[in-house]
Formats: sequence, structure tokens, C-alpha cells
Amino acid sequence: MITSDHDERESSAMNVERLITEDHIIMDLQSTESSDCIVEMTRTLDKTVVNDRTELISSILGREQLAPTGIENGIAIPHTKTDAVRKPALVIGRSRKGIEFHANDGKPSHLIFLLLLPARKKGMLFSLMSGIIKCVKDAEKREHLLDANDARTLMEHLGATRTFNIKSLLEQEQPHQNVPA
Amino acid sequence: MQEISENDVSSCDTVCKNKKPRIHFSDETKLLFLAFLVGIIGGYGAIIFRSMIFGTQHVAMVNLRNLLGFMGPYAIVIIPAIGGLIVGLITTYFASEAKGHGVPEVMGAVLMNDGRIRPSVSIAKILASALCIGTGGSAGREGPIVQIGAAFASTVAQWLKLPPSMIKNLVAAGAAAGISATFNAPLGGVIFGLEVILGEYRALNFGTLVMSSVTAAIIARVHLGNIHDFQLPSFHLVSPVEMIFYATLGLLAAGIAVAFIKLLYDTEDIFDRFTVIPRWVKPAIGGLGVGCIAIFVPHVMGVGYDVMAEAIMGQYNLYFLFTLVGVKLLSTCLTLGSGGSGGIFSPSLFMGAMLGAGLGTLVHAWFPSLTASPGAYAIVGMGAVFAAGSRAPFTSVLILFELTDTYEIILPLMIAVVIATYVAAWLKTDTLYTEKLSRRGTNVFALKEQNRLDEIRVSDIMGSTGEIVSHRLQFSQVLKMIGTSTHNCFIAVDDNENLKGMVSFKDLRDAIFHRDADDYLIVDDIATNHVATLTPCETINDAMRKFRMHDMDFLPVVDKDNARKVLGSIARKDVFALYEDMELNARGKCIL
Repeated sequence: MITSDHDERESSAMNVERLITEDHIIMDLQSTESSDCIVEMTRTLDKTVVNDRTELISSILGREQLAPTGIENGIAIPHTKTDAVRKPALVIGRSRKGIEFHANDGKPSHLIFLLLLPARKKGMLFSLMSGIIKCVKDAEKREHLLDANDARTLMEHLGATRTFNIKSLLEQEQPHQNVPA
Repeated sequence: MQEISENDVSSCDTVCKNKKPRIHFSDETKLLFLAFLVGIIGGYGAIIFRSMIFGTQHVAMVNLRNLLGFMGPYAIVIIPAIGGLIVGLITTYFASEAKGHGVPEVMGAVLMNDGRIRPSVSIAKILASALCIGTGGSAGREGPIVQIGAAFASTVAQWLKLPPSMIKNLVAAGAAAGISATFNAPLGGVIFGLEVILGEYRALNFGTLVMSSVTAAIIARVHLGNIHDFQLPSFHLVSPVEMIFYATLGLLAAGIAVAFIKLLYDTEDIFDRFTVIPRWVKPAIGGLGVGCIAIFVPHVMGVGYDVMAEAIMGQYNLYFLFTLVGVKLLSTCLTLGSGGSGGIFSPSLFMGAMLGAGLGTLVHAWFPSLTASPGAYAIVGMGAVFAAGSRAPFTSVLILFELTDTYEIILPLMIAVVIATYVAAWLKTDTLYTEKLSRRGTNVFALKEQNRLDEIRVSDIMGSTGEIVSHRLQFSQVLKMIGTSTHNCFIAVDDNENLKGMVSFKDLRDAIFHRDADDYLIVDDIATNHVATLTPCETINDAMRKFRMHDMDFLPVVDKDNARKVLGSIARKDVFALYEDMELNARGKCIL
């Protein structure tokens, strides 16, 4: 699917605050397996977001099979681009026990960010993933997210994160702007 | 990078060829046989057409004139008008394509209708043109015979359900046969078919055209003898200084040709504007005009080969020769512009002969020891005016060379023809043949380009513009590859090497500013899935259409029978570079 430059710019400008809602946060995931976890997390999405749930789950699991989405320090960012979703969405799940997402450090994941994008908005993947990774790189921030008592507190911790804002990111990366696209 | 095996491409060729129905032997053999058949019909068509003109001439100028004896010398005014009336009825109620001089209709069919011409055109054209020329209309018989041969060839090709490329080839062969038989100039016929009808020189077309042209020439020689319509005097270049006079003749010929193009189609426009006059009446009005001119100068009537022969033999004075240039121009425009039927080949030769003989008379009077007889200039003038009007210099030189049977003519002829062609191209873009199509809103040169692009297949230019990578490959690896790869895009394939998508530089644009995720993204995340694909059998026009429609810079080329099997890729810039090259070549051809 092709998007215009305008669409791309609009998409890139979107930050995590606009993506997540309280309904899309699961403070205590019951699943112990990654595939069950994904199914559990997608249950939070209603029809305004999802076109075809079966297709969506199949797409996420298909992506998991290609390469693991677990990153270090107990974080996993399973993701997919699929027309089974109508608009970009981010579901956050927290697992006390930890779920195996085959991270490089071999540790199970406690914070799972399920990132879903329509195929035409795949350009957003770089900024959103980059934003999530920057946020959770900070050990103190990770602790806050893991210790949050409720979804609202977790959201506040994420909302305070300037790194999700594409404009501020662009300002930080100013020297790279001469690189041909 | 996956290699593109020759087998893949050749298998596609086979598939493409297998689409053509009822093939029992190779296309080339089949075409040669059909060209032979077309040559026979072209040859006999020319003989029959010629006989019909002579028959009509006898009936009109002897029987009808006797019948109109009470009108005295003014009977000659009525005869072309009667002919025009019948021609008008034929072209209005039977086949409108029979109107005019034929070659633009054939070119139009090749450019816009895949060479398809209605069968009825052959019959209508032969009747209308024989009547028009036989009753004194000022027109040539070559254009009609080109259209007759082409229409027959097209009919046969359509009946056999041949593909468009073969129909066009045979149509050109039909045209070549007509020219070959009517001029007894087989080489000229071949080049006419290539240069004027097809607009390109290709070895594959050459064989077919040679077969039809030679066959038609042999038939004409068997029945009419190995002679030409006019006996030309022996010729030689008296002095190198003469080249200046021949160059001047080229310049003047360009002026006459451009005036001919403009006046012919302006006359047509004027006649078309008078919508109150029924269409079938208009050729009669044109005929009446020619009849009025013929009272004073009967030389303008008909094809005019006899008049040309007399001019070449130096039987006219300077004043009369230049008068003939003007009155022939006017009478031809009246005949064809009003909707009469006939060609512009002979009138071009006529005007050229008179112009050349006039200039020759002048320079021979001034520099008798340095110049050849006026006849030599008349011959060169014939070639120069035709070349300037049709922008077919090669055809012009070869036909004149064949008509004179002497190599001596080549040097002055080439100089005059080339100068005439270049100057005419500078003065007017369209030719005698393309002006009609241009005024109808057809961009002939663009259509020729499109036709050429339809003949080039994706397999001809596809290559390895894209690097084939696994869809599991880490994005950080892709970034490393960009630095060292000579390719401009990445084609993502799955573990079974089936196409999964494409990654272009456009897809990587956002990655430049967000590097934290490099190690966690893979090719599959960033690839554009469901991309449009091409098969080797598709044409460059198809490729251009898909590039525009999908806004892609690269497209993967896949197997015709397995849309996921990647054979190679094709870059938008390569397609447009090819188009630019062809456009430059075409511009060169437009001038020459």
C-alpha cells in the first residue's frame, strides 16, 4: 500500500500519548506463553481498531516466527504491519512472572509493548519503536513502569517521556538532515 | 542476487509465441509466405489498377468527350467534375477511407489500429482512384496502390488472426509491393515500406518487405515489361561546380514541398468548412476547378508521367515549366482537398521535374559548359521535392536511382535530397503524410514512440537493479549493505525464495532519524508488501503504466506462471532512460 508524503509526515508526527489509552493497558498479564500473551493483549482492542482479529493474531505470530521481538532488560516489542488494523495502536502489558520473547540477554520480558500498524502506515514503525526503546533504556524509568500501581500511573510515566515526540527527536538529530532520503 | 537464467526468459518467449494461434511453422516462415502472397496481389493489383485508369481515361476522354461534343473544348471542364461526382458517392456511401491520397490512412492504421484496415477499402479505393485519375483529376496512382496493397495484406492478416506486430509488418509489405510494381522499383518499394509506413529499419521487417516487393516487381515485369513509365536520358556530372546548382535546387524543392503540404491541407479544411454542401458533391467541385485549369493547361490532368518525360527531354520553355509547377500544385490541391481520390507521389515528382527542368534550363543557358542538360536537373528535382514532402530521403534516392538505372545520378541527387529534406523539416514539422493525421489531432511522433515501446519487452531490459534479501534479515544489516551494494533497492523473499515485497530508499527515509530500533527490525517490517509486479512478456509501456500507477521506483519481475518467483527487477529510471534514448533517435529520424 502506498502513502503520500503528507500521510507519512502526519504519521511520523504521532506520538505514543495519542496511541495508548487506559483500556489498552493490562497491568497483570495472565498468560505465560508469548502466543497466549499476544491473544490476551489483542482482546483489549475493539472494532474501531481491529478489522479482523484472526488475521491480526496470525500476522503478529507470523512476525514472531521470523525474528524474536524481545529486547534486553525485560522488554519485548512484538509488532506487525497489517491491514487487519484500521489505525495504529499500542497495547501495553505487564507480566510479573515474565514471558519468553527470546531477548538477546536471555531474560524473560516483563513489559510488553504490542505495536500494531496498518500496512500503509509502516513508516511510523521506526519512530514509535525508537521512542519506546529510548524510554525503556533508562533503568529508573523502567522501574517506574514496572512499579506503577495502575494503568493511569503507567500512562503518566509514559506521557512524561519527551522522546516519543517526533519533533523533538528531529531537533536532536538535526545534523543528519542532510543525509539524502 | 538471484541470476536471471536465459531459460527463464526463453520460456517466457515460448509462452508469448504460443499465444499466437494456429502456428504450424515459425513466424518468420509464415510471414515470408504471406508476403509472397501479398506481393502477388500487390503486383496484379497494380496492373489491374493501371488498366482501370487507362480504361477510364479512354471512356472519359474519348467516348464521353465525343458525347459532350456540343460543348466543344469546354467539355474538358465537365469531365473531371463527373468523375468527382462518382468518387464523392463512393467515398461518402461506401468507404470514407478511400478519400484522399491513401498513405496517411495506412500510416494511421499502423499507428492507431494495429494495422487493421477494412477489406472494403481495397475495392472502394481502386474504383474511386481509377475514376478520379481517369477522368482527369490531378493525382498520382502510387498512393492508391499503396493503400490497396496494404488493405489486402491487412485483410489476410486479420483473417488469419495474426498478432498486431505481424499485421503491421504485412501491411508495410503490401505497401512495398504496390510501390515496387507501379514504379518497377523493388528496392524503392522496400525502403518506402520501412521508412514511410513503419518508420523504422529492422531486419525482421526487411525480409518480409523484400519478398513482397520482389514478387510484385517480377509480376509487373512479366506483364508490362522491364521498362519504366518514363525513359530518362543518360546523365553525368559535367562539373563539380554543378553541385552548387543542385544544392540550390534542393532549397527550392523544400519550399515547393512545404507549400504543397500547407496548400493541400488548407484546401481540405476550406472544403470541410462548407458543411452546407453535401460531402459527395465536393469532389465534383474540385473536379470542376481542375477542368477550368485544364482548358488552358491540360498538362495538369491525370498522373502526368508523359508531361514529366517531355520536360526531362527539354521540350518546354522556362516560362511554361514554372507555370506548370504552380498549376499542378493548385490542381492537385483542388482534386485531393475536395475529397477526390489519388496519390501525392506523382504530383510531387511532377512539380519537382518542372522545377528542376526550369532551374536546369536557366543555369544551362548561363553556364552551358559547366552544366548538364535540364533533364538531369528535372530528375534530381523529382527526388528532392518528394523527399522534402515525405521526409523519406532514402526512398526518394533509391526510386530515382532505379528509374534512371545509372549510378552517376547519386551524387547530385543525394545532395539535393538531403538539403531539401533538412530545410523542409526546419520549415515544417509535419510531412505530406503526417499533416493529415496531425490535423485530426493525432500526434504521429508520440504514437510511433508508443508503438516502439510496445515492441520492447520487459525481458529486454530487466536486470539486477535490486538486491535479493531474506525477509528475516536484520535492518542493521540492510543499512550496512547499502554502503557497499551497487543496487538501488532490495527485493524481499521468504525462505522458499518467493517474493514478499520490496524495500526502496523511500522506505528507509524515516529510519535515518530513528536508529535505536535498527537491531530489532527486520526486512519484513519495512518492506512494501503486495507490490505490483511485471512479467518478462509485458511491454515497456506496461512497465511505465505500472510505475506511474503505483508510484514505485523499482518493480520486481516475476515468472509469468508463478507470480511469486522472482526473475529480476526493473528500475523506473532505466525505463525512462530507454524512452529518452528512443526519443532522441526518433528526433533524428524525424529530420531524416
